Amino acid sequence: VSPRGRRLSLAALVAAADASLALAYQSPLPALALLALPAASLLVRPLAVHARLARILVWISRALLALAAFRADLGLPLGLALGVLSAVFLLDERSFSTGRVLLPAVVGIVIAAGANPLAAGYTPGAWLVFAVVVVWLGLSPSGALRPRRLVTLVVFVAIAAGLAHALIVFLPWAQPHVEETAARYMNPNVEAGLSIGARLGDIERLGLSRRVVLRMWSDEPMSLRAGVFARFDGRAWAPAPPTRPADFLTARPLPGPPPSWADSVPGEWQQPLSPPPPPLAFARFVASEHGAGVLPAPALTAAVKISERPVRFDEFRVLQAPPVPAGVYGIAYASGPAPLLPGDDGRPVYLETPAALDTRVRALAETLGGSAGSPAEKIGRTVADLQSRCRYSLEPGQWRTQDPVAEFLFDKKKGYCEYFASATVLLLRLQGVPARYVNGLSVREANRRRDHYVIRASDAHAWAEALVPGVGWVAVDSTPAGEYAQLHPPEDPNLLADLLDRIAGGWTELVARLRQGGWKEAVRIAGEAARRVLPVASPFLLALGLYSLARRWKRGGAKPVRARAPSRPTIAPELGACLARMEAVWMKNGHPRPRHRGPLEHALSIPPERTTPELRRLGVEVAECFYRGVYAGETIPPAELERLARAVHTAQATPART
Amino acid sequence: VKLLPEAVQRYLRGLAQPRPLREFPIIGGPVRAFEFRLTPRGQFLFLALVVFAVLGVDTRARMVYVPFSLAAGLYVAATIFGFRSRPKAGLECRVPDRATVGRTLRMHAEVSADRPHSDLFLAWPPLLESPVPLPLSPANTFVSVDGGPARVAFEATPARRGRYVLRGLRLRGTDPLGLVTTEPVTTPDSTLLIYPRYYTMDSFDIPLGRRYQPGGIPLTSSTGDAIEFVGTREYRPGDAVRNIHWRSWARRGEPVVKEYQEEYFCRIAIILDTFLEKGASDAEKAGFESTISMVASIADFFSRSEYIVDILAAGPDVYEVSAGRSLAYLDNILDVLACIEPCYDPPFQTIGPHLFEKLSQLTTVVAILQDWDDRREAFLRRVRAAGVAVRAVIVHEGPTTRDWQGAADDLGSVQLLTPAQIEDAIRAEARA
Repeated sequence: VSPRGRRLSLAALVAAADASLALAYQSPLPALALLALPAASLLVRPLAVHARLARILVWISRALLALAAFRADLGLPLGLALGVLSAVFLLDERSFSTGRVLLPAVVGIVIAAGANPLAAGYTPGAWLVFAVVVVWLGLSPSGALRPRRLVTLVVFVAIAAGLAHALIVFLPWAQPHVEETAARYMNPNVEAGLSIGARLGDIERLGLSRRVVLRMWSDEPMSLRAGVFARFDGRAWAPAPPTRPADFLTARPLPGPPPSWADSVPGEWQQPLSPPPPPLAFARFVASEHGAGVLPAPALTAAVKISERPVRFDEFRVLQAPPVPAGVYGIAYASGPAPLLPGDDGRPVYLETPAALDTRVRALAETLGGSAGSPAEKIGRTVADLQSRCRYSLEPGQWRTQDPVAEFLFDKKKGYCEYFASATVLLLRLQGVPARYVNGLSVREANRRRDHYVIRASDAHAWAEALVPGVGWVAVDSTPAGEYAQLHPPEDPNLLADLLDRIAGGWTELVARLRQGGWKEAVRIAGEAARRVLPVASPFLLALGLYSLARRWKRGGAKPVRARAPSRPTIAPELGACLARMEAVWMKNGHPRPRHRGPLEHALSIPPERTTPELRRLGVEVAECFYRGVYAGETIPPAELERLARAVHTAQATPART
Repeated sequence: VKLLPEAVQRYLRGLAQPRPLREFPIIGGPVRAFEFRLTPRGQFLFLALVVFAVLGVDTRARMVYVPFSLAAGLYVAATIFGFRSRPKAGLECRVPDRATVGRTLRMHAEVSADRPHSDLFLAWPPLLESPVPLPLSPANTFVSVDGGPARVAFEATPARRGRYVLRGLRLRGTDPLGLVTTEPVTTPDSTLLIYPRYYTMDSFDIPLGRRYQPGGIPLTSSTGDAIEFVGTREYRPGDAVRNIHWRSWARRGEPVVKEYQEEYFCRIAIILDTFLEKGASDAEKAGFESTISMVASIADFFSRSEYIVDILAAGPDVYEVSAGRSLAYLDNILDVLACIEPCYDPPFQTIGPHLFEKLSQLTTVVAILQDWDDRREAFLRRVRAAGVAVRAVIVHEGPTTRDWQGAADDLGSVQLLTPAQIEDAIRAEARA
């Protein structure tokens, strides 16, 4: 690019930045003035600004740039000042370096223009700057704009513009989401998830964590129990002291045929002493984390296939295993309520209520029917009353009393599953129905993604279990299902999310299987992968092989090794011959050149008294000509070479100086 | 600090030494990517991108996210193009082995390719080893190959003597806007030795003396016999048969033998005083450089005379430079002088034993000193006492620590020069 073209493109860049400023602030007068300045600078002959003044101007522009970065409210005046300075900088490219002075000033103008958050015209202005930058950069690398390069340039600009446009749309959209996520990460206590207890009234706003905790392959959705609590002090649930020893599972074969996926789960089938009778259903789980060693499972679990040991049922038939980072396990289960275990029905803890219970709660229990009616009727009335009285909300707000259940029922009348479950248990107990609080994971049809269910931390749920004589512990979920579903959106079925989810799921399963199954499992996984990939990949592999064979055949052998640049210079024959003759002259005159000494150094080191000035000058000339030709890459004019060759020839023919 | 274990001291010293960011373990990778994979305009774009990112982080407060998006689009597209393979082009660059301080060094690179290439970027990476930066002009440039090979000329004017190891020149492909580069094609690394400046002395008088050298120059060079052939004479009984000159016998009809003569010549040791106080001023360092230039000039003078410089004692190290049949000893000396560093402990104790061992074969010791004090005077007196002539040149600005003129009468020839005088002589020669 010629100096004039370069100046023109720089002026266009400054003008584009000025235009973006004018568009951002919708101020035509400064805009016109600004746009006129770069044009005027092209008409003026380049100046030589005094060095001190140039330094002062550069520092002023830097200060303005810094101010533009920190003071958004001064955007317009700072932008105008930088615009004027940029026009001055265009006048003297030597004093004001393009990279160090002019371009930062242009960046400053763009920043100052962007300081106005309501500038509708700013985006077109920024695109204008982008276009000028692209043209300027596209033209300035050396080389002609050939069709091939033009095509590459167009493709490049299309990609860049597409990405830029996507970002311009995406960033304002993403900001609230990013802020929300960041806020959630900064305060993890307010996120939904499994916990070892439940303390009511502490959380004013519950967030829904999208963290995947479990993946389930099953024919149907179900609720998975992870903890059962019987004691309630008015605010927090706690487990009741155990009355029976834990029921350890032992390895035994299943009564019926195992499911098809059984081989992909390491370990053996383990069963309790008295498993529920068939028919059994099966489900396979990949857990990203085992919360406190609990394996979420349905109430009537008959057997579990897992490599960890020991596995046991606790007093409430919650499945427990050694805590591990991640794992794969399979479950065989029967459908129905939780079994009634010996001694379960007569425990007074299931009818306990907090000592300082609000009288309104007792009154409500009385209103619901007191002790009249069957347990099933009481359960029905209680659930109906709760669902009509309170609504499901993740934002119950600030708590003012020490009795969150009463506040939930009578004041706020909104809350999430823990409040509904706690209120249900209390009201049932006040009506004489033994009840307990259960937490776990609620798997719904909305969790399904392709062939499995994705269970996230936000699917943590709480419900009640009430004892119905002759049936057992019946799950009672008073949380309004419609409102719950509304606030727990289904899995997003878009392609990217699906792909990412498949990768994440596959990776979790792979890690879990490798950790649990060792090298045997690794071999099995490799075999499975090969069986899946080979039928798909073999045509491609075959095509690739044929292509490489064809290329090799076309090339006529192996790929040539790229020749490295020679380390020693190649010397033009005439130049080499001239220097060789000069060396002969030096030798003849008693000054042979040592191998380690450069020709020029040697020519200069011959003492003047031991040579003639002509010979010395000739030696220096030949050496310098040699240097220019060999190291500086110059082409020595044939006339010069011939003159030197003739002079050296004459010197060679002259008798040596004695 | 001295109470700490040596390893800890070394570690602390290492921390205190400034290291380029690119050599640090974790951040070194990104810094290297920034320095080498981005062209200057790519670096500018990247920095602008960072500024836009910082200022545009709140999309509600400012609209700087728009230029950020535009810059990011360009940068990402350029990075995608940067993943292409290295350019299919040949690169050749010739770097001379030796040069002299202050003399412009010219070299050129030749880029050739089978098909036209527009977006090639040629850049010199930072020097692998150098006493001071060697600014190569241009440090980087875009190249286009269209038709024949493209030639790019580079220049550098070394400001200080020393050993410079230049990393190979890198030729990289770039995206169409020349922002991000691909993997490079490189030339091999090369070593460049920069000699100190020196001037051509017309004369340098030394106290002369001739000392018998059994075996002559060849023995000095540790190879061959004494073969200073002076003529022929008639055979006398007892002469060795191997000395018979067969052609003369055939011509004269009587046996003739070759006659040799043992040699006497001057053998000189040059002693360079490299002692410099720690934290020496710039003037003292410049004086040190002038001292080295003086030694180079003297060695150059001797190389043009009948003298043989056998030993160069520079600082605590002693070099026997007459090896190789005495033909290349000036280059040997200049090679040593190119790489000499100041010695922070007085070196005379160290070089003493080695030098005194050789004194019996030397005629003259030429000492180039930076000052005159008791230690230096005692050293030269010991040399003089061994029967060797002494010629001392003091390169010093201002009065010396001790008066040197008193000792000059006993020692022989002592001369005081100022660094400015040496500089003047060098400049005068450069002008000539």
